Amino acid sequence: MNALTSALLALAGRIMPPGQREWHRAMQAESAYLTAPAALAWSIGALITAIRQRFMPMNTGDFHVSRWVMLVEIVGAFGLLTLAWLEISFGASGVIHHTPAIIGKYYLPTPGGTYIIVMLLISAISGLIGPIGLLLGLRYAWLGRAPRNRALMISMIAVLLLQSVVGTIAGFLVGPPGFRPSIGLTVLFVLMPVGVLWHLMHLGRTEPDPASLTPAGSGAG
Amino acid sequence: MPRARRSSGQTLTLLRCLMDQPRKWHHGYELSKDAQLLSGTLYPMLMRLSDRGFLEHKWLPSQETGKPPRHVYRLTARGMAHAREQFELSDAAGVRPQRSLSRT
Repeated sequence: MNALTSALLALAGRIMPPGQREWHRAMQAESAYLTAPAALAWSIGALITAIRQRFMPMNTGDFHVSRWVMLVEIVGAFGLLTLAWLEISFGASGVIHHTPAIIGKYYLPTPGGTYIIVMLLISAISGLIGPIGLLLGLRYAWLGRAPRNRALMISMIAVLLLQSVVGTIAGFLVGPPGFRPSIGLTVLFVLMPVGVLWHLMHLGRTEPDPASLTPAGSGAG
Repeated sequence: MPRARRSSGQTLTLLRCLMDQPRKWHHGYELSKDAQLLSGTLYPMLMRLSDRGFLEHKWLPSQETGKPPRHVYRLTARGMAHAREQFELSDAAGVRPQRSLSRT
């Protein structure tokens, strides 16, 4: 048995869930009867089997996740969006400080300035999805209650997507010279929140058995 | 009474291999060759059959010196009944095994 085959079998043994190690030992033993090329293919199969067995219990097919996983999801998606919303709305350069005089002086005369101020104002409103999503997600993580208001969830998803698409198109048409949409910002502030909103909406449609969830507030100590 | 769920073509092939000589203990590589299944496909199927009580397994000491014991498999009585039921279902639906069997 060559080193690569041994390494793959050893890795498979580490990945295989403890309750199924006998099956890994079975595959390992079987490989001892094979020629080197066949043993290598066999060991790859052992690794695939171990990975499948490790991940299969996670794949419930209904997107139910532990509340801890949801906590990470919502902090990643809505926490960042909430911070961005706070900055756009109330930060040092936030729209709350933008008086008509400031807009008239610094935005309207510059190329693409109108586009920028309009997008800032729209983002200050649509950014509310951040704290709303944070609250809905935290409620699910803490109480196990997913949002059931489908219309609200669809509206929030639609607003984020619409703003992104219309904002990008408008950016090319009337935005500042050299406008280029940022893929990173789109992922962070559109795609991630949309994904988590969809996830929450899906959980609300198929409420899990409360007993199957681990409360986020227990088991930490 | 709930309707029996039909097995996949690959599972049918494996069941046919096991049913070929139902009292014989088969080892993994032999099943892999006969059913023309890769190990990464075969073992999850064996594990599922075992979990459902359709397959029994044991360790058989090697007849070759210096080689480890082999894990061997055969269908339980329930497994044989399940296999026959699956064959009938597949025949009724016109489903063929995934690959032709080497011994048929």
